Amino acid sequence: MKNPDIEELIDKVMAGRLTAEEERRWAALVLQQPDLEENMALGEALRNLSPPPEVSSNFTSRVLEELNRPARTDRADGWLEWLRWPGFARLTGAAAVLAVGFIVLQNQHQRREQMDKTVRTFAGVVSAVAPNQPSAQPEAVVAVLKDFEAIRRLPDSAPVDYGLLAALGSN
Amino acid sequence: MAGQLDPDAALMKRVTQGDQRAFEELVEKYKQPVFNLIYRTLPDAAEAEDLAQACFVQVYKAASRYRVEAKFTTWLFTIARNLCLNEIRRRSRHPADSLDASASPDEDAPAPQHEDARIVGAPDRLMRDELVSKVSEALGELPENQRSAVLMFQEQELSYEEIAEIMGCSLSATKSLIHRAREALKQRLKPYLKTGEWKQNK
Repeated sequence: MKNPDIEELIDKVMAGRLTAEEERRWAALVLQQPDLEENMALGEALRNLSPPPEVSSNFTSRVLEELNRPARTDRADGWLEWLRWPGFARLTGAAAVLAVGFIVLQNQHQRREQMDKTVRTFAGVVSAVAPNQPSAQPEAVVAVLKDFEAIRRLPDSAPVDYGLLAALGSN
Repeated sequence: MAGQLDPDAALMKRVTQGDQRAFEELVEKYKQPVFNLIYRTLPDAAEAEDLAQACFVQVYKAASRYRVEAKFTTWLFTIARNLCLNEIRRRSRHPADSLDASASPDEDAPAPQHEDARIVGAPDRLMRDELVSKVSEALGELPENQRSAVLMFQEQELSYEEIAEIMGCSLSATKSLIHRAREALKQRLKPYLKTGEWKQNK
């Protein structure tokens, strides 16, 4: 069905707009290709569809009323309005970046404090084990650190028992 | 120069100058075709009317964007179709809202206008009603773009070029859509089309 003449004829058949001459051509064509008859039937079927309902009689006045309605300025719309402000997205983004930055800095600060505490504790341990010359007694420090895992598991609140450490160091 | 303008374009020109009477004329002239187009896509009379109303409001607000050299109906139907597509998208995002859509397409429609029973007998009428419902059903089963294209051709009597512009696709794609729609309809309605009932009841 690639013949443009036939296609055009089918369009006219579907639309139900055949001239007398075209009707003759169509009849001859249908004799050769009986399946084409379905096009006419389909065109008829589509033209006989139930018509959509009529629009309301006050349709036009409703449209005009809608046009002339003053812009809505109620409070509900008012407070939502600022969400549509173009700078809102940028402000939200900047606030999010600032919040993330603050959290990262806070985290770093806490880690630094933790590190300071650890260093101070470790320095205390070393000075307790080798009060005079820590570098001269590395084996004593190593002996203490062997128990590192056990010490690490001690509750944070438990104060360092420097007396015990000194006793261990002297052994 | 204004005298050479297409009457609708002339009215639109007046609308752009703030003439509401001209707009009223356009609404009066096209309210039914716009409603029909929307109703065939969203077969709920109340919703179709709301969308048709929104379409005309949009026409008025966007009047300054209308180019007088363009055919008014093409522009108008493009707006109407876009509103339909937006509504379909909205319904697909919120399926609960579209419960009404499952209702029979012709539920809100007035009873079909039958010929006088003295001319067409009751069995013929029944057969005709069944055919009408089968055609509506077959149309409803078509993809939206095929259904819109074939109905714009059949009901609105728009040209292929106008339909292509409204649907935002090429002329060949439009012809192909209409061809595929017809073939699908013929396939689905084959047993009914073969009976020749349409011709007998004419």
